[in-house]
Amino acid sequence: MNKNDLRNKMQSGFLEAAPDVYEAVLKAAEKNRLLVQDTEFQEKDEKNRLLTQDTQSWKAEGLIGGSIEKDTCKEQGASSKGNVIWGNFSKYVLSACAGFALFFICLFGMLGKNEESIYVVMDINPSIQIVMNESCQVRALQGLNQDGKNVVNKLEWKKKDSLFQTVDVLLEDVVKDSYLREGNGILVTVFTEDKALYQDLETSLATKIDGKLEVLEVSHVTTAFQFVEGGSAQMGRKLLEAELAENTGADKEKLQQMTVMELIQYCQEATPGKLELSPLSQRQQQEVSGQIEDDKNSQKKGSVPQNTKKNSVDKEDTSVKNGANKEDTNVGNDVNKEDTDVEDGANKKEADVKGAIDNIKDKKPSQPQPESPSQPQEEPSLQEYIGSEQGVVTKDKEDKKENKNKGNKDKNNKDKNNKNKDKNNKDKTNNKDNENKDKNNKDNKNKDKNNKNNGNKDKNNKDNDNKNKNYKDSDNKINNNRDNDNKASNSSKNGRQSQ
Amino acid sequence: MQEVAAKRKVYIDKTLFERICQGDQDAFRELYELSYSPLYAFLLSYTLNAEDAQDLLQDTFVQVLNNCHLYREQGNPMAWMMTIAKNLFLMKCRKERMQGINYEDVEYQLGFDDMTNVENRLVLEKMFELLTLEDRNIIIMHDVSGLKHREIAEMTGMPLGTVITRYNRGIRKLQKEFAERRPT
Repeated sequence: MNKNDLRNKMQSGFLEAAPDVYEAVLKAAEKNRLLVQDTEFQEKDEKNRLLTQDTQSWKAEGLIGGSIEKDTCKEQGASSKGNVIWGNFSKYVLSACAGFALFFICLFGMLGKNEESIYVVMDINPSIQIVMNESCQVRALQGLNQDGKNVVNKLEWKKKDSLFQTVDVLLEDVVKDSYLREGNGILVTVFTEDKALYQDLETSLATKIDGKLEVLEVSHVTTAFQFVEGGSAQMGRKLLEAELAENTGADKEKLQQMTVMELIQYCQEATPGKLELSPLSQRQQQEVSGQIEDDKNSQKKGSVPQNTKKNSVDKEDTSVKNGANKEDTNVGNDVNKEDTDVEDGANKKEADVKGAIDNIKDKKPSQPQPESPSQPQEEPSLQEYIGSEQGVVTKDKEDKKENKNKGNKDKNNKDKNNKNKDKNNKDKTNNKDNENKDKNNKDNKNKDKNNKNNGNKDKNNKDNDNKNKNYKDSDNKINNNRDNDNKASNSSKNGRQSQ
Repeated sequence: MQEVAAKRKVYIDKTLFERICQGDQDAFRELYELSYSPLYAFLLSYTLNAEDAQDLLQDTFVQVLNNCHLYREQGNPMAWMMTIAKNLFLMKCRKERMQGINYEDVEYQLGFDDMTNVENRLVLEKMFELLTLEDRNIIIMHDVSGLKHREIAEMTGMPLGTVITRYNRGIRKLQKEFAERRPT
């Protein structure tokens, strides 16, 4: 078969096979108004014809040039385009709406990205900055010093985790790596412009941290909160140091060398109310302050023999309080009254403390000591910073704290220990003559340490027999010291002055 | 069914689209008469189903009416219409694939049974039987639609040489088939 024959047969074959869909297409076109009605088209055609006739006549008359022809053509083109545009008007409107919607979505998306960030800086020794949004979802973690960077690198956390969840994991890691131990401090600085938000955060974070520390069995950790208005991400501790240096005039180097715990203590003494403590820390502080008062009482008692002293104090109190019962022999009541008597002396001591703090500003610091994890190691360094006088004061304070912890128990145990006291007194009186002033001082220190240990142990296990024994022994020693002090009061006073 | 024409030259005036845009129904009728059988052949080659090809043919003309203002005077108008038809077919395939229907599994229903001319019918049947889709399309585009080899190459994206080779090979196959038949 020839090529042309094939072509012809194909053409004719498809022509035969192809169905006629013209009517169906027209119906579809009418539905969609794709074809203009014949009448409209005829009208338009007539108009165009008239226009062309007019232009031709005008041209013949020489009234116009060729510009009208162009204009009419343009009009025709515009009308055809107009039909097209008008036919697709709904589509244009829809696309415009979609465009606007997209624009606004992008705009809000951009604004959403600029959502305010809240910075929480935790200074333990590793300083860690937590960046979060207003719904407490953590965005970023950053170590502000080398230890902080190490901790953050190890830390298992995810973006959009809750702040509390992250703090939970963080505390676990910090305790695990021995950055946070008993007696250390945590300074939490919140950078935000919303005070209410800070307060919410403070309460919730404080309970969270206290709870976690209890679970991790890390006691005597002071958690302090600092509010900084503004969204800048400065280091919390440095900010506090700068403020303290400005307000109290303290040396910046000294402040930098302090541990977090020392800094918190110093801040509370120098500018009370600047930091807010967590409930657990406040409780601990109240206990410590109560202990100080007890210690003051015990020091007062030390100048007079115990039995006679109680009576004399009773008498003095009752005389002051206008007609109170002079024969009040209740020991508990006695102690309370003693407390009131000693108030004046305590006030004097507090004044001494403030004076000592003021003295820091003028004095240069001693050799800096590395940040130690435990409280007992930190105390000497604090004394060094504060100076000799301050050191004495803080020692007394700490003794008082320890005694305060034991204070109530001492009172309860006093009666029980009377018998032992008598025996010990007898033994001790034999040695009284041999004891020198220096020895007394050393003994006092050793006893104080024992008291500390006893105090902690008693808190944990009151029923422990061994501890009770130590406790009793320490009480006896205190009583003996008191007796010794009574008998050699002048010598002990001289000893304290020398300290 | 339309009456069989002896020989048909496909030439579409480019001004037809302008007239259709202005609502000229006659222009549309003219365009339809010129292009409906090549378009149907082209669509049937793809779909291998007469009903689907008919539906797509209708949709193609509706699309032409709808988008006549978008036509630019570049190349053969038939190529433009065939591109519309091909795109509609691909869209239909995509829809049916999403519904779980595979076009390749559908049985042939070419609709040649009603044809009165036996020779024409035989040619078309052999064309669909022997040739591959690409060869068949090239022959339809060249012989039925009147596109030049260069235009086919531009439209399909194949090299010109490939288009010519495939066309010749397809024609030769058909010639061979009918040459073998004659003596018998």
